Amino acid sequence: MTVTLAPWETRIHKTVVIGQWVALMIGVIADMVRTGGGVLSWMAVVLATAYAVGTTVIPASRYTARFGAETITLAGATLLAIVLTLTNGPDSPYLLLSMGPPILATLYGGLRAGFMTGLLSTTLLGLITLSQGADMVDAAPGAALYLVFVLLVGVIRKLFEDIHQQATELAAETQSATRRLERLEQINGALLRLSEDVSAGRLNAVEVSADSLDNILERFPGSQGKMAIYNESGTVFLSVRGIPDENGYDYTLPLATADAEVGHLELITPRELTPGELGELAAEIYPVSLAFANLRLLDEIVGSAVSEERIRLAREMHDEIGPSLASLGLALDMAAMQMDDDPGLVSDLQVLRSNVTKLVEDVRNSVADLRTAPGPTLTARIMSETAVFQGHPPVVVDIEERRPPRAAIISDLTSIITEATRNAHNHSSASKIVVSGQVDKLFGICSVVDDGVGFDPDHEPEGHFGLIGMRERANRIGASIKFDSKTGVGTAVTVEWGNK
Amino acid sequence: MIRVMVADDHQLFAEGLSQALDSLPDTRVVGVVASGPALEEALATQPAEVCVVDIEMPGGDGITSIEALKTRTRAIVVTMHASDEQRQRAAEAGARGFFSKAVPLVTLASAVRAVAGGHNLMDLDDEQRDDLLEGFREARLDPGAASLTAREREILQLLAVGVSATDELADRLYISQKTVKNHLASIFQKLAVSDRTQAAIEAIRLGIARPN
Repeated sequence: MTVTLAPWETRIHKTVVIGQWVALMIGVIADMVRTGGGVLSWMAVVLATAYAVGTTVIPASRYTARFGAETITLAGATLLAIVLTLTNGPDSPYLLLSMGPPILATLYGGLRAGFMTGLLSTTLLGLITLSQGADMVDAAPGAALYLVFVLLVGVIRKLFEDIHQQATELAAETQSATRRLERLEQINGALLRLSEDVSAGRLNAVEVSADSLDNILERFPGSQGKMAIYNESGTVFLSVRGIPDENGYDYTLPLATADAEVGHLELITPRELTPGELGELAAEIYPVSLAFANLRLLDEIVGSAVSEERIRLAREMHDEIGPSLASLGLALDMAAMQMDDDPGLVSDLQVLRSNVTKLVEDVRNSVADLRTAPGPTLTARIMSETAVFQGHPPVVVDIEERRPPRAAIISDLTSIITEATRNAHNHSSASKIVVSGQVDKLFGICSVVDDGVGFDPDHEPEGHFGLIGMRERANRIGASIKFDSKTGVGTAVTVEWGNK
Repeated sequence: MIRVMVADDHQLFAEGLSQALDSLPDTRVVGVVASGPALEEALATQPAEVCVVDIEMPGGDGITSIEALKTRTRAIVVTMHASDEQRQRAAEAGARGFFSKAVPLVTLASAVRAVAGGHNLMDLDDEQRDDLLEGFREARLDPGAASLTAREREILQLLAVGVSATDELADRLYISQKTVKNHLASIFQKLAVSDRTQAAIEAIRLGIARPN
């Protein structure tokens, strides 16, 4: 087993090992000088060197293994006790080297192990002193040194341990702070994207939800996400991304601000999300919640302002422009009746009268439109209705809408285009569906095009495709509808209404 | 002669409508008012067979007044608010006709004649209504005016262009002054007027003569 020591442990180990080699050199030189190199001295050199080499080459894993430090230091203490016996007992020049085992025991086993080893070394030193007939007082400095070194190394070890713990805690804090920073960066990123949407004039709930979902699914690949907003119509799904995994994990996260819950995110992930990831997700969708809440507020404010202006305009048209034009029409009628002996003039007056009548009717229609509360644009309606088809194949809505179609026909137009999109989604096996067109108040053209299996135009599919319903709706609003399809190539459904 | 009251708060339209109806030989506008209460007040002193009423007017809408006055007059609604809902309200209140302000004068005049004759246009669909109004396109002159002879109409035309002296009339028509006087007496009786100026004005109003 490979054990990795903390840097500070390695450093102390090396220091001790070097210290032991220095103590060995001092011991060898001092003993040789004193004795002149007798047999006992050389035996001591061999044994002491064996100890030094042993503690140097034994890998750290041996120390940290169960009873490793105890065994090594016990063997070391015994070996060095022999060395001391061979070299004058308590006055041995190797006394300093004999500090090694207690120090190593303290280093790897803590104060308790250190004291035990120190006690063993002291006992052995005492026994050696007794056996050599020396005064026990001579053993006192050695015993004191064992105690001091054990204490010293114990304190140093504790100090390093504390420092190490603090460093670990600091690292954990740093890591946590880094994660918080990353989360803030994500939120900031989401806000920046929202800001870009605002700058580009794309700040609508559909864009915001689609943008946010794309970003979430980038982080959780293989997931499906649905984002819904709550409005006066109830729950409206604005965007759906990805394909649902039947065995996935379902999560529903509220889109809420401090004041209200404005929608929710449904997420099906292929793996279980950790509480940390859910927290990050909640933080990431918070700007979306704010955006939805602000959009609702903005809608209310703009809606109120627009409503007031519409009422004012309607009143002006109804009270002033309309009756004035109608009066002009009556005057033309009167003139035509009185000039009935001049057919050319009467004809001109009748043309004028016809134009005035049309103008009055236009004013009437405009007044009726202005008095009807403005609803969502055709594009917004289609995006909302087709959001449930998002996923695969992707549905791209690209409509250039100057003004919404008239209130009397916009619902039928939405239904026709949604039905065509539903057919393409459910039956065409297409890789992509594109809803495009150009729309203005009084006229427009919209197409739903797919690159799917298509059908034989001479044998239109019957049953569940709603083609009859689409034609009926088109007829009702005076629109034309055309189905172009070729087997294996795709289908284009085009609806056109009004006159430019 | 059908007496008509106009109730509309838009002055220009009310005056235009009044002039237009007055220009017809068989209708005469007896009052123009700008609100529902004013209409009720005016009708108390000046009876009218038909009222042409707008819906939105100050001091109470026209429909309230139509309901209040349905036993005293017959109302035709002419409004910018030509919605099905308003039409339904007007019908329930007792209105006899319902038109947008874009209505041509000939249609409105036919409607006034039909309603004055007791018809209720609200019971008819568009096709039935148009068929009925077709029968009322021509002015229904008073029996007196209708019985004018060709010579009497010639004299009225000359009066309308300013030829009023007996000798001049006689010269123009190659008849004697006595005969001219006889024709004038007959005209005065038929048109219920007392002098040549009134006869000329009435002839112009009835569309029998033109001022130039």
